[in-house]
Amino acid sequence: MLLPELGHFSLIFALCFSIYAAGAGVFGARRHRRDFVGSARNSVFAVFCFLTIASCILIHELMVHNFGLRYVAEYSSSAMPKQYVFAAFWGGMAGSMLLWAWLVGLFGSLVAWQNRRQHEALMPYVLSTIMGTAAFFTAVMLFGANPFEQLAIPATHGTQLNPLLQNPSMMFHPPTLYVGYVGMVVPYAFGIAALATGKLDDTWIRITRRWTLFAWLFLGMGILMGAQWAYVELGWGGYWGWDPVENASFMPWLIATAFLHSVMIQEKKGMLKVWNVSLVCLMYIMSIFGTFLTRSGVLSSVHAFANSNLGPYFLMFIGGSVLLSCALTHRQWDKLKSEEEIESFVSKESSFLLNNLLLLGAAVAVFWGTVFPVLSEAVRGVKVTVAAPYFNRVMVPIGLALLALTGICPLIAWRRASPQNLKRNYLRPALAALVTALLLYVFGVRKLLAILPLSLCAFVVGTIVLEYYRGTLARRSITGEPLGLSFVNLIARNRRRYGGYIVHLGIVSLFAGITGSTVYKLEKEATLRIGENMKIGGYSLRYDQLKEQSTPARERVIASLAVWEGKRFIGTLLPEKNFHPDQDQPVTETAIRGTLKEDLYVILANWDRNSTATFKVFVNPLITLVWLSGLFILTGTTIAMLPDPQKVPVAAYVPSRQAADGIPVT
Amino acid sequence: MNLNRPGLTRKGFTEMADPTSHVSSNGPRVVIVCVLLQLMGVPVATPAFSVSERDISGELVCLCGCGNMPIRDCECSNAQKIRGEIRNKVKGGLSKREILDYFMDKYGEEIVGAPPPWKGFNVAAWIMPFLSLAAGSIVFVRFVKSRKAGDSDYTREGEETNSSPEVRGKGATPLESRLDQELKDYE
Repeated sequence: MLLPELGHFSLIFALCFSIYAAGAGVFGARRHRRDFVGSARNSVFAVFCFLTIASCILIHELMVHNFGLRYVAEYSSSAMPKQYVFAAFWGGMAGSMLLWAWLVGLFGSLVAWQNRRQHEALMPYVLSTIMGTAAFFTAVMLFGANPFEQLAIPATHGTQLNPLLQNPSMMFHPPTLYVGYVGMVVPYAFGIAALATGKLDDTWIRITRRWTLFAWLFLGMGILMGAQWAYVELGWGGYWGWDPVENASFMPWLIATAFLHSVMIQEKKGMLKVWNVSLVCLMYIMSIFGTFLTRSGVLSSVHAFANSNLGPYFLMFIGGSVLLSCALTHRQWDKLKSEEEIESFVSKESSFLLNNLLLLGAAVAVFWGTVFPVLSEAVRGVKVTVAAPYFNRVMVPIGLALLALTGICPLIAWRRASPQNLKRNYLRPALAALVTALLLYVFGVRKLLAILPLSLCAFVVGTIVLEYYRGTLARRSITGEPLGLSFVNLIARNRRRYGGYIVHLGIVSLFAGITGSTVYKLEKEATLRIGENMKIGGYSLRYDQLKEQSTPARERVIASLAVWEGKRFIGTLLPEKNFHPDQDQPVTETAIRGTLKEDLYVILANWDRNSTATFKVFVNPLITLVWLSGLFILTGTTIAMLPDPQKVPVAAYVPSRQAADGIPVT
Repeated sequence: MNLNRPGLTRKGFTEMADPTSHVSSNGPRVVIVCVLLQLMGVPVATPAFSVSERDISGELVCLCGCGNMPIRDCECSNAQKIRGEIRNKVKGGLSKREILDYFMDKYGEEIVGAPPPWKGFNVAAWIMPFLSLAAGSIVFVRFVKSRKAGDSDYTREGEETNSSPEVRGKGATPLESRLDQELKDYE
């Protein structure tokens, strides 16, 4: 048994090197010692290597079922399918800390490599900040949750990973989320470096723009995958429960969204320097806080599988980060003041500020609701619950206002919008909204909470279509390109802008999906005898039979239902309940028939000997749009992240296809 | 458990059930507030006739360890029992708030998924997000006002039309410059 020891020592080395790198970077920068800065950079690579070794060893031990390790014994068993044994790497506390630390090491190395010949003043501080974070997570592992802890008496067989987590989403959801969380470290490190060096122009923002987008994208995708997992696996017909852990990932996402927007103001106008620095710090702190919430179990939730006593470490680290950020901001306060001015409340600048206000307000609301139970217990000694009924009420008005701004922001003029500007840009989208509202009303949608968001969606889509339409026409008339080509080139040449619009389409799709699936959700519970029917929405379901199947990993109880839509037979649905050995609770396997219009979602709730079974059936309209939004956001963000050929120095980036093809540059 | 809570009287019910009297006497502002509150579904002045079992079962959460799922959605036996109780209470003609009070007395305040604002400190849960938004708005307004110093130079329409990428005149601004401007925008 040598490998686990090797893993343990790798962690110790990683800790030593990361502390050294953090110190050497700052020291080298302050004393102008290039040798120290260089050595700090090399240490970053060393830390990454040690963490890679540790991760590989842990994965290896999991795959060979070395139950002498506590972590392996607690989160995997030999009966589990191979891919979930692998996923157990991030299934528990210690493993996910290792993944976190490894990602910090990876991103740190990438940043160090990317900038090895540029930004000499900033880089030492950047690397120090990243290595400080790596040191923290490695220390947490070594002192609180060691993945290489050995059992005095090796277990004979392991414990299954919670069967709820044995779902394909589990393969992708946590790592994606973690990439998002950890990615936030990079912009933060550059922000801190900018504060430390006093180079507060928009250089740090331009360097980190793609990193921020990347982290934001992964965090968003991770959240969406989590929602999908909840929808498929938890069996209550919903996908978002305002669970503390969901909130934990949502808060940094909201703040990062605010940051992505407000940096545009700084790049364009040189304003909001303090604001952006504060946002980036908040983003980082929230991502650490998110990890803390997920992993500390301080607020009980389904996700707190891994309870542990790491709270104090995290709180200390978060406190330290807050202090550092505040102190540095304070020191540079005079330089951070912006000179530019805002001319009007009706302007792009102002609408971006409003967008930030609302996004941050949303984050505050989520934060407040998440910590309120703890607060209430401290103040009144009474435990209260803050769950969906609270969040839905508070977030709906904020969300609707944000949706409206999604339409307003992109088209409003910089500096000061004239009445002509407003009329020209908003008349038609507003008409689209009005027509949508009327149509919805005519077709029997009478709930304000459906009409309002859906017509706002139409408004936003209207503005986006208008932007694409005008841009394409303008381009065609100048270059003489055919319509299709000028459309493609329009996007290719203004990737950030038009990619952003595609992301906005994703947000519209998300809102429409949420509206449909909450306001017009149908739900019915019925106990049926074999051969009996039930009706819901336009569907009718007949309970045909109940089968039992047993495999070493689980006992399956499968009900079979024939489904008709109107008079047309559309197939058989097979909802299941699975019983896993050494788990008390059975696991629900839902049966879903999805179309773009709606999902028919069936759960086998109960059954008994005399051939009756109870089903819970949901019809979730438009829910596919929620998942589709992910596709839009992915596409749009990818377009926005691609390097712009004609706008960056050739030395820094490889010119992309368009530039090489020699398409005329306007 | 809170023992000195006033009993569930018929009087309380009628008071709750008749918010319209306030509306008529206080003019449109109150109507707007009521509509907004209704939109948010805050159980402040919900007329009794609108209470259904679904309303209540969506309002209460299950404490079986399912992670605060609404009673409506949880499948555990406890949730089923509570759904039965809700049915009885709704049939008994109680208002939403009375029903919620009943369940809080029986199971503790934790059972309500949104901290009931009529219980002291809980108001903070509801006020704080909007208070911070209001504070943010004030900061925003003051920020914009403080930045609006050099009003005189830039307010002429022509200047504004030229500098604005969004306003493209049919003859005034050539499309080329518009496209250039477009490219400069957003980097």
